Amino acid sequence: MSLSEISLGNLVKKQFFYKLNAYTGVFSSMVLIQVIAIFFSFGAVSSGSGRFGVQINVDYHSADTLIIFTMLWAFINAVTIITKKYRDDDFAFVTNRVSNNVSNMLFLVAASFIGGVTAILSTFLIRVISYFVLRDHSVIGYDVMYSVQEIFSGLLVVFLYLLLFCALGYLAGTISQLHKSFVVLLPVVVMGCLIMIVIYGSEVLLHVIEFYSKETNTLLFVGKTVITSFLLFAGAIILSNRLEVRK
Amino acid sequence: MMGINVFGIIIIQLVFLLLLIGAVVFIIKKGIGKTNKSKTTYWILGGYLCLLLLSVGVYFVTPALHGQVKTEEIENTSMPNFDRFIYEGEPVDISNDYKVKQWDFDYNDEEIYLRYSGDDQNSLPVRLDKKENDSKIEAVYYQTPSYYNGINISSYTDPVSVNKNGDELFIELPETAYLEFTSYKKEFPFKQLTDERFLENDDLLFEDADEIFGNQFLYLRIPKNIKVNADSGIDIYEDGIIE
Repeated sequence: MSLSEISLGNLVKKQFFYKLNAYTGVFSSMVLIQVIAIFFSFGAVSSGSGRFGVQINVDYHSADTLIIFTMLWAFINAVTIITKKYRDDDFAFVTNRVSNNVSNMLFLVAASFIGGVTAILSTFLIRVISYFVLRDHSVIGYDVMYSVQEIFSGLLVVFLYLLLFCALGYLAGTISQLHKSFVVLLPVVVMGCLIMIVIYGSEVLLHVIEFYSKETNTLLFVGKTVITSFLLFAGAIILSNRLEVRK
Repeated sequence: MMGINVFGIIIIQLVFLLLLIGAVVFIIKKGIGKTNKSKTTYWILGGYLCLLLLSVGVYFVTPALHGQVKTEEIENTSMPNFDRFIYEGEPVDISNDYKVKQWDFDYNDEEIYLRYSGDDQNSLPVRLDKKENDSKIEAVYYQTPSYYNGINISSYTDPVSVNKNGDELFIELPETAYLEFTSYKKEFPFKQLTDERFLENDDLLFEDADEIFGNQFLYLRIPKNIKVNADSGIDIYEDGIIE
């Protein structure tokens, strides 16, 4: 029996701040991934068309690639922080599975927020570089300026998508801890899903994606992503309780 | 053959995706392995954030980066379609707004030859009306403007020119102008909750340009006693019927 008792809230708080300080590598890898994605973004999508006497070619720049890279980062980041190496860090504390999971989730929420902010701000960096460095001076097009409302709305959307990917990664990572065979099976299932979408155009999977990506109502979008993330995290907690104390 | 190509492209996309995932895993594992309070990491993240914030400031003070402001809704239907004058033979009654240029030539011969000159990648339909014998040939070039993403691009192109040399009337087609522009596409998170047209676009990442290409034709009025001959590439319509 311990002489001093510590509440779950305090324990989670301590673990959360510990992880925020200790896992700084998560953020340096995010910076590296986003910088690479910025370079990818300059491989502009070209659109050409023309009629009588005129042929137009427009190079479109956008940070969509960077946002998708950041989603990948969120997913893999969540898988990685529950690998054995990082789980062992938690044993530096008097801890239990709940406090460990909750602090991980809070860390992933914070990482999603930071990832979301940097992804949204990097859209401006891409435009500035394309204009001043690449000398793309003949900018054509209307409605390309971001309004303040769009910026905050974009931040909310990216943050929630990143949270969703983190939750998905966290569940996938937890499943892979249950049995060694899942380490091989999970990537196979993920690749299978990708192949079904890309080659066979799987309607079911597309509907699942569109359930989130085609939701334009703010409240419904927040509801869908937050509830799904919560369910995925809850699933991860339930599964992690089946793990041995220190596997 | 087509199937193989499509399949090949899909395989390349999947391989690229795998490589991408592999690269991200590698970078994260390398980065996350450093579970120390490395000051370098804070400097990297801090420096990156400063750079991003600086770019936001630069963006808002550089109007050229904002694109053009759309001042009026340009509807394709608000401009006349010349098809009815060319192919249906309706009397040519078109606003002077769309009359780009007019030429009048004195002509007394019995025959005239219409020829193209200039960039033969372009072609221009000709509406031909016969009129009383007044020894004058009238040519009028009509064109509606073209818009690309809200910008009038007609000014970037040379108009058609008509000139006479002996018994030949040359329709000088403009050299094709090749225009290169840069544009920015708002990323899907910015639009998902704010853009009313978000769902109209099937593809969330890419969208079609907002383009309206104008139409044009040459209106020729020639005395009825003059026989008109033309090069095979020139489409001449008289009373809506191709000659």
